[in-house]
Amino acid sequence: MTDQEEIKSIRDAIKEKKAEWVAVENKLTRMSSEKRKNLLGYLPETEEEKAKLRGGEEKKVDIALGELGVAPSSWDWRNSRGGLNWTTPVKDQCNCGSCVAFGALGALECQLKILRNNSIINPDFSEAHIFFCSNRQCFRGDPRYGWGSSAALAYLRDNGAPDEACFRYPCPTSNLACNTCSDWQQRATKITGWKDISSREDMKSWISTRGPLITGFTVYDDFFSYGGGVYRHVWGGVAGGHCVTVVGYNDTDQCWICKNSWGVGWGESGYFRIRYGDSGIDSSMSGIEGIYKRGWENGKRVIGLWAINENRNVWAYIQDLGWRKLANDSDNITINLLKQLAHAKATSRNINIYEDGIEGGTIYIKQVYVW
Amino acid sequence: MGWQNGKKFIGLWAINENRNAWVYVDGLGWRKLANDNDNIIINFVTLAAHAKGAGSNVNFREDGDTIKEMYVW
Repeated sequence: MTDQEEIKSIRDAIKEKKAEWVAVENKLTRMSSEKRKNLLGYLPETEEEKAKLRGGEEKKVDIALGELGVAPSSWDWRNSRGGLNWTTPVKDQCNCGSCVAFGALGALECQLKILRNNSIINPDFSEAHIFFCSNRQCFRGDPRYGWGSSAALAYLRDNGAPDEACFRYPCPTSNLACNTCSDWQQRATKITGWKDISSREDMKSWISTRGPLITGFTVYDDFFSYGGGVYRHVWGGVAGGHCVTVVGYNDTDQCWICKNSWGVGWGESGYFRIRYGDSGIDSSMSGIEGIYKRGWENGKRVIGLWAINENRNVWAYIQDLGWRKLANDSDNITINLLKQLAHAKATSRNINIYEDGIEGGTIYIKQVYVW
Repeated sequence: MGWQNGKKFIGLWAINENRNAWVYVDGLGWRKLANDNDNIIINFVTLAAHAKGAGSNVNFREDGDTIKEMYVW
């Protein structure tokens, strides 16, 4: 079947089943079915995940009465909290089964912006590092092909992700080694853990109050041609499993809003909307619980100082970073740090500080150099 | 009682008595630094000395004649 014949069949099925999405020709529909299947490197890790990839049956969600009404009827991290965009740019995994790396880091980048309450910053973590340095590979037939979302999240917890410049994503055409930077461990951002969520209402509550979710779902042959609207499976067989970042939902349209990694030319500027329950999209999702902030921040100024009549409770406002608490393991430690920071502020000196804490929570200054 | 904002510290005073240090606030007069323990008063003295030396603006919360919380900018 040619790609035009395939598109026509999908369009006929959309019409017949009164689905509300459009099928278009794109770079994926023009690929051979074998080649495009290679993009679907989401490997199920649990029996439930395996079951949904076998057929993607619509999940029968039990909604506890107490949960109804908790989450707002719609949410979209591209336009929320004052009309701001908390997502990072859509990327392209190219012809590689690395979708899990993109789905997980899409969530991590967005979560970091939310936790810092700063939509302007543009964190960009290295998909190539977490994928290839976990000994995963791009191409079907290799025993290291693809990845699971729990394994990716465990890697982010145990090792973290360095910035993109550490190991830029190369659009692989063959197997790649872990060709990362030598100081990646100092540049890595780690998560505290993650939570698996299986209730649709809990997913909405998580998204609307905490941040994006990571999910795996079944891709059918018709999905590649998605060009906009609310997708539901109407035509074709199972092509494989895929992982994406869920950034919103809409009860009116009964859909999830997902960030894909097939470039901005695919779908709705790289995003797609998919009907609740379709293709196993919401059988389970995972959310990042917290992000560590550990490492050096160099060349900063002390802008302000704060104290209160509580024991060892002193904070400094650091340029570009905000309020940081001085380490308070003992009286002496707090006083030593405070003396140096007060000196740096008085003389407008640059400081290098080693921070340790959790994004969105208390971050301690553990070391300071004053120059 | 309450917040005083945008003030300058123009004098400091200490004596050979435990945890007894005061600052002279421009336009307001002498204020005592909270002294619940050694660490607290040392923290406040450090901030106050810095503020006086640098001519910084200070926002502080006072309770009676005692400063209980302080921002130095």
